[in-house]
Amino acid sequence: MNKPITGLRAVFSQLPLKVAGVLVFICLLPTLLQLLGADFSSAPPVSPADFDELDGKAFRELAFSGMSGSFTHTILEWTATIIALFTIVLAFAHFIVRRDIVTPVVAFALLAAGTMDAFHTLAADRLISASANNQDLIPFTWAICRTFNAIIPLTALLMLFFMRRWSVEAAPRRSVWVVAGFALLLAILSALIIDYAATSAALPQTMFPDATITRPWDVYPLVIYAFSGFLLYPLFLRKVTNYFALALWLSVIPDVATQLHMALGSTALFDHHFNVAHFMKIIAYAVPCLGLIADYVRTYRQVEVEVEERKLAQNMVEQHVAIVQEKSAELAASEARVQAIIDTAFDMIIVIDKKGIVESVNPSVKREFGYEPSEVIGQNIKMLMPNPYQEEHDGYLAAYHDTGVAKAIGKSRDVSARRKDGTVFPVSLSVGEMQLDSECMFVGILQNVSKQKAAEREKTEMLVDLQRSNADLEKFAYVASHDLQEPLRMIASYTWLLKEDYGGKLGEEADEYIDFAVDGAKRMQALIQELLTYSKIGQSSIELRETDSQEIAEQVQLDLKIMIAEAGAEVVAKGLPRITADPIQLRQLLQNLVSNGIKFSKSETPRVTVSAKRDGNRWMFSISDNGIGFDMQYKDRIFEIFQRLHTRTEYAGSGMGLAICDRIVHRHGGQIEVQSELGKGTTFSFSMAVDDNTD
Amino acid sequence: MTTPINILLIEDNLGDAKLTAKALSRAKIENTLYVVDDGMKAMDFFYQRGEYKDAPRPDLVLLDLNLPKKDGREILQEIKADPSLLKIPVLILSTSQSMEDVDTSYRLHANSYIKKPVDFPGFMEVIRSIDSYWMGVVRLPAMG
Repeated sequence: MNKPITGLRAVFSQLPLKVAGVLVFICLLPTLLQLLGADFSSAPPVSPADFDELDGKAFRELAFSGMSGSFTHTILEWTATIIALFTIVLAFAHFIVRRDIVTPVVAFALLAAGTMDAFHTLAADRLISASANNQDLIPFTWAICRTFNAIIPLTALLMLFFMRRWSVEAAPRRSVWVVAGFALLLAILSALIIDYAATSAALPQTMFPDATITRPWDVYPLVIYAFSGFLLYPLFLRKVTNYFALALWLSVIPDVATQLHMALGSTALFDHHFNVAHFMKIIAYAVPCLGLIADYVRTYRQVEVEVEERKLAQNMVEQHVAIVQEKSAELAASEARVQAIIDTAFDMIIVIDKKGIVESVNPSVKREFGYEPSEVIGQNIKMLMPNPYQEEHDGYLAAYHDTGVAKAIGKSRDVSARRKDGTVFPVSLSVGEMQLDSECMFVGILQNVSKQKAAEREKTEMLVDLQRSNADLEKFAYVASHDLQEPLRMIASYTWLLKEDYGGKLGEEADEYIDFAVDGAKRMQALIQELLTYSKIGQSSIELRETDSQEIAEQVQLDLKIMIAEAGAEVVAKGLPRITADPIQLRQLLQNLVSNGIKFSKSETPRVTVSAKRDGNRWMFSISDNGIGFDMQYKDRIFEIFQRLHTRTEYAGSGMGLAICDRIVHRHGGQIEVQSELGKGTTFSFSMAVDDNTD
Repeated sequence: MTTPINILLIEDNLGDAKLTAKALSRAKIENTLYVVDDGMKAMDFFYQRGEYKDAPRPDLVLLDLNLPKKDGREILQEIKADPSLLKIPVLILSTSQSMEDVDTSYRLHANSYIKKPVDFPGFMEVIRSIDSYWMGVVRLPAMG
């Protein structure tokens, strides 16, 4: 009954068939029982002649038994009236709760009919005075009551049906007036009818015991009931969907049964059909009343369910509130954490919107820029930039907004920032984009890089200084050694001349002095020569070209022919490769290493082996000797200039040879290494690039 | 007995001049060494001007490249530009090893370029070879 019903057939399909069946069965039951021989008629009325021969006690007995029909009638009618009263009480309660005017209006109609029934009963019992005799009064007022009963609820329903159309019931205050007005109208109408029935001395004849239709006046309500049961109630029920309305409809069944018994069956007062009809009327009153009670039960259950649902909803809301509170607390904690990180970050953090307006800054901004947060927030970020960044910034934002091409986003770059006092300092800036509530924001993280920049500049300056001083030193070494040669030549020449012309003439001591001077000058000349060579390697650009190292090695052997012969040495150089090198420097390198190997020999035959083997795209050269070797703790020192491991008297030399070798290898992009064992020999090794043409 | 040949040494370094003189004094060929210590004096010597009014015409010139007032390259250029002097053989005697100096000298028609050895024995050797080559082996042009 919760769904609104459409279509007449659909309305009928909503009829509770079981209830209807039970009603029909109840209505048929008296007739069935009659067929089985039952008779529900009251004792026939007593004629005055019957009292004549009776004594007092028997007279009273007969008088009472003669009243049994009337008593039965009264009980039946009164029951119906009580039910009508009960219905109106329930209907009012319903109206107060639901503010649905249909129920009280219909109930008032029923009550009006019930009131008339009460009058009909009271009049029949002569409890109130009436002009007409009972034989006419009872059937007439019955017929009037029934007609009234059939028409009034119907009228009420029709009225409400249209009122509903016009949305009159919407206002609760007005509904009260509608109910009150209707009740008043009914009261007046019923009072008028009662007045007429009570005061008329001659009422029309309503009972024709010999006719087929014994009580024709009861046909009108019969027709109205049938009509309303089959057409009007279903139409009306399309709009009202409660048990009361349904029960009203179902009450048509006992109503029809009542009228059938009365119109077609009853031939006399208090006969079988008369009593059955009155019983049926009680059923007809009871059905709407039960419908109301059913509505109550349903409403109560609904309310219970609603209360339960409300409790559940309340619980859920409380749970949600608890969850939200918990989440809020978590969020607040997390936000506090993030805020703490942002606040303590040494880097400056600035958030701007897509127009460049500053949303928030962290405390570092004040430290570096000198602005209070309140001076910056709400201002354009440009205030923190010097020109030309200031002018370009709007362009960046606009370009990013239009094209999505970011110049700054996702990478760190160096820009300039301007403090409150106008000074400019370098910062490293990285910008991130974030989407907040569908609004685009940019987070800038800035780092003051003044110190790094200064350090970088200092480093570059130092490097330049170092290169310049290195170059100066090279030049100095070259110039010095070159210019030193000239005066040294004088010293050397004239001490020599002195020795030649005056040797043996100035005494032994003088000869010794002269010898020292000559020797010193000679050594100095050698040193300067070597120094000159060394600085030349550093200064001049090397000429890398295809070089046959085998040929160079053979030339070196030729150059060292005298030395080799004098030492009785054996130099082996076989199968050396073609490489990419400066041939002059390579020659110098090999000559120094080979002569070194011969020079530092033991008494036995000095043997020097020059070999090379391929290692990737380089050739690894090795020059091994079987000489005196040295302690590996000096392996780095031997490559330094003027460093010697032996006295000049043991082994001659300037101490420049290996320094020159080191420099040559270095200039060829390699590294010279040495392996040596005291008394066993030494192996120098270095790498040279392969010859590009042969590769 | 041949007439001694006249050698003009243009050298600002007295030490070198003395060494050269010493070496030449030991030479086999008889020679007369004249020494001037700057470029202007050298030109006066060639053109017999001023104090060199009586100077003889040199048969061989030993020229240092680095000289005060007028350097060896200019002197060489002027000698070789003057038809009356260009026949005189000019030997460059320098401490410079630079190829540029060597090239320049020959382009200006120097007859030889000799690097001064740094040690005295070497120096003596060089002077001795000049002596034997230029004053013995080679036939010098006739003067005048």
